[in-house]
Amino acid sequence: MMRSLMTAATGMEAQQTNIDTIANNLANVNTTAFKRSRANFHDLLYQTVRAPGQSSTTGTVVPSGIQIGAGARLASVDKLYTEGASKVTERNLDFMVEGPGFFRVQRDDGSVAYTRDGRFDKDNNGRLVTADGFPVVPEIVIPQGSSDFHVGLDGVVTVKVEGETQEIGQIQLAQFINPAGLQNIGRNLVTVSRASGDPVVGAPNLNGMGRIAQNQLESSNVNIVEEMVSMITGQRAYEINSKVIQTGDQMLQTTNNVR
Amino acid sequence: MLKSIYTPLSGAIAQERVLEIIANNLANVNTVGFKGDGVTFKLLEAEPEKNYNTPLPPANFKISMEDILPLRGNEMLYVGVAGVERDLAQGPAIETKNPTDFMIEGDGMFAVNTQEGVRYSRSGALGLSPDGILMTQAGHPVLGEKGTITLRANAFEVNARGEIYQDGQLVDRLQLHKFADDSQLERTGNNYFFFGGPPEQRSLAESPAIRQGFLEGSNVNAIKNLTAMITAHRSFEAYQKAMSNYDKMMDKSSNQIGEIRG
Repeated sequence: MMRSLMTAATGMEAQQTNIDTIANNLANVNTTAFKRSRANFHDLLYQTVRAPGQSSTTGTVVPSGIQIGAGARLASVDKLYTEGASKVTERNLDFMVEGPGFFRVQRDDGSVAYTRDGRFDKDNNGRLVTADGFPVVPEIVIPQGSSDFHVGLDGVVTVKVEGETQEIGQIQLAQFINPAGLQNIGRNLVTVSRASGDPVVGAPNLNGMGRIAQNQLESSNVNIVEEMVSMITGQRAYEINSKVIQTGDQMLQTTNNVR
Repeated sequence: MLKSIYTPLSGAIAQERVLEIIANNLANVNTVGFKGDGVTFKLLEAEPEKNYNTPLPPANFKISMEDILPLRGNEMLYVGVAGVERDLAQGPAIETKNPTDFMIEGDGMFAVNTQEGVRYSRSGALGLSPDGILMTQAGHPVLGEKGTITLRANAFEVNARGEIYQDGQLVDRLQLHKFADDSQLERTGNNYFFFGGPPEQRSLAESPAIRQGFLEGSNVNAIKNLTAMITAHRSFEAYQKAMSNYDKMMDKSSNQIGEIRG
């Protein structure tokens, strides 16, 4: 009896994490280049009272065994790296990667972080930086008094200085074999983890890295309708597990009332 | 002592088992690729004691006693869980558009290589390892016909036959297994099954139907399970009532029969 109480509790716990994940997805429905997460569940261990295929007497085999499960558990919460819709902004420092590549930026401690968020700014030295001031790697410095800032599909950055077109650098992208394994550190940034694999750095528009589209931003890939449906199923699953606890409790009460 | 009190007790214990199975089904109502369980009961016959003669019914009695009570003499009957039957019906399709999500339509299970040997799973929520190996959420490689499947990047296509293409080239084909006797599948957690039957009962599915970008939801039917839970709950109560009545009878026989009244 106590076992069904515990089993239902694991179900409630799993659904709570599910709702937590959905809440974070919905909170980031307007976050640039946000990738939605998904909670994955597994069933827990089984107590085998009688294994399937065992003999009941010599020569007879029981058709089905008795295995009693212990509930569900969270297996992983993984990011789904599907591409978000493009949003035309007409701001020349907004970029979107069309493909699997990530922008590379340098953090305060000198380490490289990766982002899909292509909303950049210029700092006081003319460097191309993220909204948090982290410079793009390799550094791209926009000269004073230049105009017509342009980024090609291949990431080559050109500007016009005194009427003459000048190449000032090329944006490099990084690709991962398992982007779902990247570590999320907030601020739309991710870092390499043991699960993601090492970054493969290269120029855009080559080797399936993806192209760079200027004047566009990638929107969040959260689909509100989908999240709402998941939220409903999650809440109902939570409710149904609480009903199991209630039933288990009432059965215990019945037992206590026998005498 | 009235030994009959153990009969409702066996029933109450069986209903407890039912609630445990339902609890596990409902805890996994959102687990991808999960297959629910059902319970079957059976009569357990205890060793027959010495046969006493059943009192014969009067001559005009239409129904024989054996129709009402399949008991002769002092035999005891108990009820117990005969088996837990897995419902391997197809779960609902959930579209995810995620390239590493797969759903099997119809028969078949993915083969997964674990430390303890090959396990089978219906859960197609897969991922890539840092080395590009296609694996389950628990971190075990999924097997193709050539063994472990290694892919170079996230961009690959899988057709309905389970053939994996990358850059237009056939990399491997997902192994999908069918089992002649599903009841030999034993659950081992992590959405895995172990096949304990003879190897000739296992074969590769010839015409599998795999859909990329979809997942198979849990096939647990919440309404069915809730109804079963209510039934289990009420049966349990009825067994408890029977036990409490036996208790009252024993109380009568021990305290009222032979009571000396002044």
